[in-house]
Amino acid sequence: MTRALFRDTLRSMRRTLPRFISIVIIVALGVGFFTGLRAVSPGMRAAAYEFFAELHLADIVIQSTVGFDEHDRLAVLELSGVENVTLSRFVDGILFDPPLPGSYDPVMAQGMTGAPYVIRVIGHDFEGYDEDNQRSDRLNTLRLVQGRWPENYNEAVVSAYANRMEPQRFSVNQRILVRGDHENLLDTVRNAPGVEERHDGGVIYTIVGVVHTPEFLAMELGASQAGGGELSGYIYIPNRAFHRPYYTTLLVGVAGSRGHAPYTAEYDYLVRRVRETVEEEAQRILAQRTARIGPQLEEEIENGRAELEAAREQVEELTQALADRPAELEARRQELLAETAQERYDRLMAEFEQNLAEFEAAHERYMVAHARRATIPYSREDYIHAQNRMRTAQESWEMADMGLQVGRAAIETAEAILESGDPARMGNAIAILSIYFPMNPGDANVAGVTRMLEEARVDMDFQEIMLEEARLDLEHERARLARFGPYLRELDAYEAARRDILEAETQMLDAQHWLNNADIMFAIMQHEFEQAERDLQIALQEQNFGLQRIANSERLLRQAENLLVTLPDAQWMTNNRDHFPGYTNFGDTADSMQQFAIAFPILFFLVASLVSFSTMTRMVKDDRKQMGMLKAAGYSAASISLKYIFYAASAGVLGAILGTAIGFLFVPQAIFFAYQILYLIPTMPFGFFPLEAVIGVAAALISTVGAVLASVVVNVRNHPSVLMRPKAPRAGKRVMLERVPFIWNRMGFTGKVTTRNLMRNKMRGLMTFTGIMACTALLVVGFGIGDSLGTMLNRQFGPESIMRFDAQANLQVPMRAGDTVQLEAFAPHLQTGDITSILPAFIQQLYVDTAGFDRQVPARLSVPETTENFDEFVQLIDNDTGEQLHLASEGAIINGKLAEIMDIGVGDTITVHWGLQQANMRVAAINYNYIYHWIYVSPAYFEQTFGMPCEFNMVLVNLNPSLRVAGLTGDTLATAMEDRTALARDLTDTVHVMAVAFNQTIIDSVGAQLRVMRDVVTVVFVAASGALAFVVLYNLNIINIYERIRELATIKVLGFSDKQTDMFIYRENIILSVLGIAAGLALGVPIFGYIIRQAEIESMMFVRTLVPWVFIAAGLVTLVFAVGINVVMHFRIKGINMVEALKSVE
Amino acid sequence: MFCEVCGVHLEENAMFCDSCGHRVMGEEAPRVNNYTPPPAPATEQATYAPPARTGPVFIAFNDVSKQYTMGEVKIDALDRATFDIAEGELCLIIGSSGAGKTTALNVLGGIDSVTGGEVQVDGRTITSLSNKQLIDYRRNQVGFVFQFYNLIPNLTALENVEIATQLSKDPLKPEDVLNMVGLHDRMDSFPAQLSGGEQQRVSIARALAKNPRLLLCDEPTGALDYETGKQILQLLQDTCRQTGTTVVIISHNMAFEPIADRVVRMRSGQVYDVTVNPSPMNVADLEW
Repeated sequence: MTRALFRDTLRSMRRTLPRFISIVIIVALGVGFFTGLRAVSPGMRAAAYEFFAELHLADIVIQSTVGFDEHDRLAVLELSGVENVTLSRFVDGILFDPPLPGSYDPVMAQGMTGAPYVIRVIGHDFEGYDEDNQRSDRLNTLRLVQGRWPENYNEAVVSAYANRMEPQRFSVNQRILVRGDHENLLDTVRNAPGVEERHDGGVIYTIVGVVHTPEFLAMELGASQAGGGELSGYIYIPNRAFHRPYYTTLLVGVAGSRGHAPYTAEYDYLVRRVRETVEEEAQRILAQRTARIGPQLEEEIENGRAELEAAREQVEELTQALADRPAELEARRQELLAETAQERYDRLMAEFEQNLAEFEAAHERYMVAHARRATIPYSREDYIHAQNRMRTAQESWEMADMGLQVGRAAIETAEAILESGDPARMGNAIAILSIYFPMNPGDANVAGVTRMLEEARVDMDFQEIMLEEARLDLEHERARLARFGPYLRELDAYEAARRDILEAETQMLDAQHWLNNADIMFAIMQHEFEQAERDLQIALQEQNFGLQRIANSERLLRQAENLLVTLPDAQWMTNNRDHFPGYTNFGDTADSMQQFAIAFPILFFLVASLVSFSTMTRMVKDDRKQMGMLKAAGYSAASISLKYIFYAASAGVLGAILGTAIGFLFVPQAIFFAYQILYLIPTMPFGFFPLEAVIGVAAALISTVGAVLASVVVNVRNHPSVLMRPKAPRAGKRVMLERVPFIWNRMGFTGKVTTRNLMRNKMRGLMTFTGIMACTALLVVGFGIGDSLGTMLNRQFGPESIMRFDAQANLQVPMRAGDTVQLEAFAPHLQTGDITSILPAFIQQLYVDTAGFDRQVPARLSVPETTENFDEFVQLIDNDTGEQLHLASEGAIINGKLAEIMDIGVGDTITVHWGLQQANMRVAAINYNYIYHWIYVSPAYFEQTFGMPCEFNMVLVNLNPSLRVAGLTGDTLATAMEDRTALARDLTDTVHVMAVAFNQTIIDSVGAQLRVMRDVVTVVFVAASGALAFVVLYNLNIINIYERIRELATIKVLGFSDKQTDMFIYRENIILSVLGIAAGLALGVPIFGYIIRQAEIESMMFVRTLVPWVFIAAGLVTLVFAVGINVVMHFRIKGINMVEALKSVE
Repeated sequence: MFCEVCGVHLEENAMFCDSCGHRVMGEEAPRVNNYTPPPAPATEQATYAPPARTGPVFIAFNDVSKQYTMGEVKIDALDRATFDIAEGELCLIIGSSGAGKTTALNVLGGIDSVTGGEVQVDGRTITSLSNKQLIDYRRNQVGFVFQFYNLIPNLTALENVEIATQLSKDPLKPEDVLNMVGLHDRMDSFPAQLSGGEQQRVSIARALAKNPRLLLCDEPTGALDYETGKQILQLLQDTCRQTGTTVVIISHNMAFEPIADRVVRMRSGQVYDVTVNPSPMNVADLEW
């Protein structure tokens, strides 16, 4: 290429920049979609590889009917090809949420389908992580993304997935209650030291961190032996919290497996060899274990019997203790109910008023007494004083009198002794006298006594005078006291009145006090009653737990006994990584993305090559004359072609680079982002895939340069003179339609021109048609997937769907057919009409497989107590005929997707695995279903296949329409929500119901996630189709206008209005658009059908049919794109300069 | 297109070569603002006087200027051009390439605007019409005949005429017009199947079928051989005579002058002479 030619090439790029850019864009779109979609699948695999490698995902998982211990670990570690073995153990419990407002009891949480929220509590040795939270000494390690590792037994870490999906439950510092399922969780794990043991045996875990784990990749976590069997979540706690060295799972790492990407044949081969070795050695290692645990088991059975006995005793005690409780409660209730608050108030008021009246009467009496009292000159004190004085006087008188008489007696005695003259009695006389008169011992002779006697006689006379005085005194006082006599009664009356009034006042104040505090009193009584009621509930619950303890002990005992019996038959179940929920699905998804990556880009490449072909052809045509001149000037055909090749190649390469960049950088990340709703793998590495890039660039070059070559080569070979002559415009031709004058003559000129133009430029018409068709088809697919995602839930749950019941209640204790005790809980609500109908059912997640199918698929078994009105609760619709199915006593009804996966039909047999039990069931019919796999059987067939009567663990409930929340807004919604919560609380407050789940709750929460996905899908598809439509239509219209600019100028000169001129071009577009839309709508159906199946994951069937609005929307949106382009074109056409356009001729 | 001097590729309608500045378009340059043309001979300017009118004034160009910018260069396509045409005349506008005659015709046809002065047609100032009024004017008053016919390739001869008649208020019957131009047996042919003369006749028929008051022809014989060109001129003269339509023909061929009722001579965007021919020659007698 000469410099001049090169410069010319650059200039022509600059001059035709829009055209150049449009080629770049369409190529970028094609390449971007191709490389981007191609990169998704390897990107997802790379993400999985990186993730699994970092977190040391186990390659083989061994489970045993007899568990494992450290000996088993070492034994397996010695096997060839085994690099690493980790023991793992867990216990499944049930998650509880905080009590509802107005209630005391924690509420059992529920999983996706309303079964109890089974949460797996997994032991993990957190001590082994280094400072960077890395380790390689065990398998299935965790990656800490937030918070810290647990240190105490009651601390846990949760998965980032749960943290993202249910932040209200699983955020750091939140506390969750986990109870055992009919067993004491503390039998298996310890609580932190110092934490009080809960009466329900549950443990409250504090969430201290958020982790990524390789063990659970998917939204669906598999089955559990606990609850309804639906494992809904998991936490990791310190390994040391577990009591016993009994491990449930053995994780095996295969030597060298980290060098192979998962989902590859090499990896599978490597693992299969080691797995075979493990399986060969299983019996040997098992034999050692059974020998070890045989004696242990016997001991365990012994202990178990004792435990059972203890449990029975406990219940006996509890039952006795409970005997009086209801009567006591009843008494309190009667007391409480005897009068209402108003009555009580009225009564107290009456009492108060009576007391007040009494007080007032007393007051009156008092006032009278008081008035009288005022007329009395003496007080009671005066009277008492007088009395005292009289009493003193009396005493004085009596003393004097007595002294006198004693003196006289002594004198007489002494005289008598003296008269007798007996000296012996003389001493006595002195002693007698000395009692009364002081005497000296020296006076003890007659003289002394005589003298004394004399003195005594004188004294006696004096005493007589004193006595007389005292008597007079006494007389005086007595007379004085007698004066009080008439007033004493009055005083007494006054004092009595005073006492009365004080008493009446006290009573009146008391009554007033009670009246004022009537409310508080009532509240205290109520509280006491409630306390008693709650005590009763707790006691009942304890009794219930006791009963559960019995059942549990019985079960454990039975298990231990069975285990002992089956010890000789103990076996291992080995699994690949398929065992980890989501592992297989993730690989399948990556595969299906591979399929997408082929279907879509072809569409884009087709359009890209058509567009660049038409553009380049146009360019070559324009340059004919120049090519002729160059050729005449001696340039070779090759060097002339080089200009166009360079032009096309640079557009192609630029587009390819742009496309590759977009493709590798954004598309996989966007799709991966959407898939994170389903999968846990947190990040996808950016990847560059040389092969895809090369294919993309090659395809880009083929569609641009190839197009140039096709048109250049034809032209450049011609002789210069031929090239320099303008190529005769293509002759007008008659079209078939003209032979039908009836139609033809009615068409306007624009119509005729349009028809002939369409026929003349078939190629361009075809391209426009293809572009529009592709755009519409894309939109059909996009809106179709969006509709599918958006309506799936409402087709599965809700009044007009498959699962029509509104709520399901989990029973505390499963009931047998004919039991009615548990249903008493519902009776009041059935009476009020809040609940319109109920149906007990057995719903259990379990695994299913069939002959010739290599793995087990999680499914849900559903057995209604009666099949009579089952269709009020669940509508079974035949997958093919659309007819309603009825549960018959022979055979199971399974869903279409399950039948599809396992490739079975009516009449085939499936095997259902429920724990250690299994049953073969014949497929009687196949029904329509979207979410999860369901197996419906009648109770009779259940009994027939499982060999035991069915126990129903759930009650399906239909609500009064006023409690259905769907479709309500504002106040009615709020009321319905409140009523519903109240209903749930009423039911769970009974001892029979553990929890109530409303399907609407599921629809709301999961629906929100699905709607996000729907919006992402819709936006991606609308953007892609819009870009496609715009580039194609813009480009082709520009060419069309450019080619027909003289025609347009001419008709403008002839006096065509702007609108008429537009129609000259538009008519063609409109017809092609309409045809393209029609074809696109038709084409969209099979593409949608294919893609929706590819996009499905195993546990779901997307809505595979297209609803009318999808077609309407796809058509309308395409039309909007087309109209948008036409608006742009309108200005292009309006801007045509007639003078310029007509000035020159090619 | 390439520059004849340096060989560099040029844009479609370039007037000057980008690299050497060579003038590409036509022999004579239109006047450029930095270029002063030789002044017209003073004698001519002095002797020029409006000729006597043959009928009422139908078209009046009063001081019409048209200036446009090309890059940094301002070009006067029309420079105060002034002339009248009477009703029913066959008027010939003569000038070499770039003299401004095509611009004058385009302005007259309502497809180009002016930057100064005014143009009246039948008393209406068409230079101040709105876009809508212009469309109406083109539709009903004017018939346009192009040098390169500009037929719609996808329509037959008859349909190409009909495309015009379906628009106008008082059209002639397309078949009659095609008969008139001697194409009664080629009505259903597509343009590609017709010779140049035949195409031009279709083009004239298309213009005439609208029954316009004014027929504008831009070098109608420019792409035709002598004999055919003569036939076309004859057709135009006959049309003028028989229908009373005012016909304006532009040409660079001065040999046509004798057949016209009035000759307007232009140079550098200016009208420098108008002559009225009291006895125009019949086309059949014309030789060139």
